[in-house]
Amino acid sequence: MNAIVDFLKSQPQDCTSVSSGKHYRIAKSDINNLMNLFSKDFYKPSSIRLLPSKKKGQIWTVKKEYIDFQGNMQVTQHPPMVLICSQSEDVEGEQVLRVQPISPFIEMAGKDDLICERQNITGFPFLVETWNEQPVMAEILEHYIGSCDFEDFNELGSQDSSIEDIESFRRIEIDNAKFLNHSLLVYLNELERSEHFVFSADLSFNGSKKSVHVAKGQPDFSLLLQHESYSMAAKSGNSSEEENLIDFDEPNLPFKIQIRHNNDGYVLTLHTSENVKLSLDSTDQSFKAYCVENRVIFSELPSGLYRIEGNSLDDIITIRLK
Amino acid sequence: MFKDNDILELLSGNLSEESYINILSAVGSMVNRYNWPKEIIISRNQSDRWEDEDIKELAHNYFEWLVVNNKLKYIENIPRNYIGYYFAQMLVSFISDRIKEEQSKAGLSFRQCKEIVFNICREDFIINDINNESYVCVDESSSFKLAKDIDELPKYLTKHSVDPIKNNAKSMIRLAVEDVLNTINGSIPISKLYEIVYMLCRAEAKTTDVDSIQYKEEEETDCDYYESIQKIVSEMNTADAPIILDYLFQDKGKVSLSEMEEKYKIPRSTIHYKMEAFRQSIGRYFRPESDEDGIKFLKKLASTLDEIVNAEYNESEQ
Repeated sequence: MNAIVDFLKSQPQDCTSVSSGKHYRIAKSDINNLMNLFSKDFYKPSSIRLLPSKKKGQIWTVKKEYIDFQGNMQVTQHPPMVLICSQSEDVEGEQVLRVQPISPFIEMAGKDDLICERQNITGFPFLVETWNEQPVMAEILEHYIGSCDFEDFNELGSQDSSIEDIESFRRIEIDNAKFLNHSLLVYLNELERSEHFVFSADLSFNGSKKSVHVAKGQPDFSLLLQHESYSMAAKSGNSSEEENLIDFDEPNLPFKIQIRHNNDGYVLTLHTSENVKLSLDSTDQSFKAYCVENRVIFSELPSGLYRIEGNSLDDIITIRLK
Repeated sequence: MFKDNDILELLSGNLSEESYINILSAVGSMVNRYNWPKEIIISRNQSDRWEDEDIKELAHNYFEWLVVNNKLKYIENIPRNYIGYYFAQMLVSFISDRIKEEQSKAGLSFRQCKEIVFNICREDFIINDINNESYVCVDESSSFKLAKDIDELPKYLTKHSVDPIKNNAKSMIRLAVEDVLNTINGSIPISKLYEIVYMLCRAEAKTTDVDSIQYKEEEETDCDYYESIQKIVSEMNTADAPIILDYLFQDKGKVSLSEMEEKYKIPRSTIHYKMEAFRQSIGRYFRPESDEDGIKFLKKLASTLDEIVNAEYNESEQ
């Protein structure tokens, strides 16, 4: 039995689902004993987090969940941290990187594994999974942690765990890393399909998703997945005025959303008079809105994944313009 | 797993009762989910079941381990929304350490061996249930034949001692299982297989037999002393043994040369000369590795001189 291997291959439960009905007898002294380990000055997080451009040698966390290029939410129970091991590459307008996951479980290192024993980079010593390198979309990287260079690493001389445990660990980590490369695999599939579309939009709200495409020429329905459809103009063969228009008017949406595409980029129109905020998911960049007659309009938007937030919204609306 | 906010409250020194309960629940849920052995916590009560107090003790031990081992020295580097998961990882690391510690103390336990044997049999061999008992065999052709003389197997099969330090239990047990099943010509009750494999794989008592190690060490040390003492004794006049014992090994306080002169009717200068010669002889033939070593040697030397004195007294009596 190896506790680390068992943990990594499982899907850890959320503790809230277990705590209901579980009653511990708590004494004030129990809490005090624990608190005595941590003084009020123990933890001083920085209020500012750097968000540098992604480069080789940097360590980043990866989002626990992300919307892929098919509009599907991908979730992991074991959010990785990764070391960027290549410079960013442009693939049809999107940034792609090669990364190697890092793990705090240095006891699972093999003799040929790279170990960084410096704790001040990530907060813990870690091993670099050089055998688990993956290409990923840069947009799934979330927080910058720190940077390291070759001198920070040393090869591990001793092998604390058995060969079987190390092999199991590597197999599981490679399996868990599918979460990373899925981002690029789906994008590449979409690139192929996108040759049939003028532009598309993926919308996700309150657990539901929908994708709409504006077809080039005659729409090919065999290309569509279950949650996808063509724009009304394409389906009905309407005039060119409506050609570059996508409508989202679902019952569960708080307001109607329209998307147009022109030479300057995308125009996003929200049919609401509420105060809403639009930001690019990868950089948190906000966009200025124009408010006209119960409509909020954002123009000249580049392609990308956006978040629409507002006080009146139950949930964040995410929309990918592609 | 741990919630980020609960851990942040703890780190900030503002732990609420609700967050404390959430933390205990998270530890408890992981204990149950991963079936961690009870012996990993310090106080071992008789029950095999994890009770609330056990979970509490484990949680407190875990947080102490984090602080003592500086696992939180740079905790600010970890993003807030990652911190809950990091603490779950560290808990697993803590448990893994404790399990290894317990295993290295106890060696391979029968329960561990049984678990591993069962998994190997399930994966790679055939298990048949006959009359509510499970039998293991290599292939279908062996499944209807019961193996004979299986009790003799441990006598002539190769031992595959598990080294808890190297953590090679699985590979050693696999070898033992394969040896047994390839040797017998038929099926073997799985309960018997557990026993035989355990006998083949249990490490020889090495690190746990402290008394025998100490005794062996003492024996080896006595041999070293013997040579040195023999050389020292060979250079002295055995008639001087009582004088040396009285003057150098007196435990009633320092004795003066005058007292010695009066007692033994030998000039002080002669006594002084003999004592110096003896001291130099010790220095020539023995170099202590430590104070303790030196004291042991001197005791042994005193004992030898005492034997010489007794031997001479007995001779004179005869």
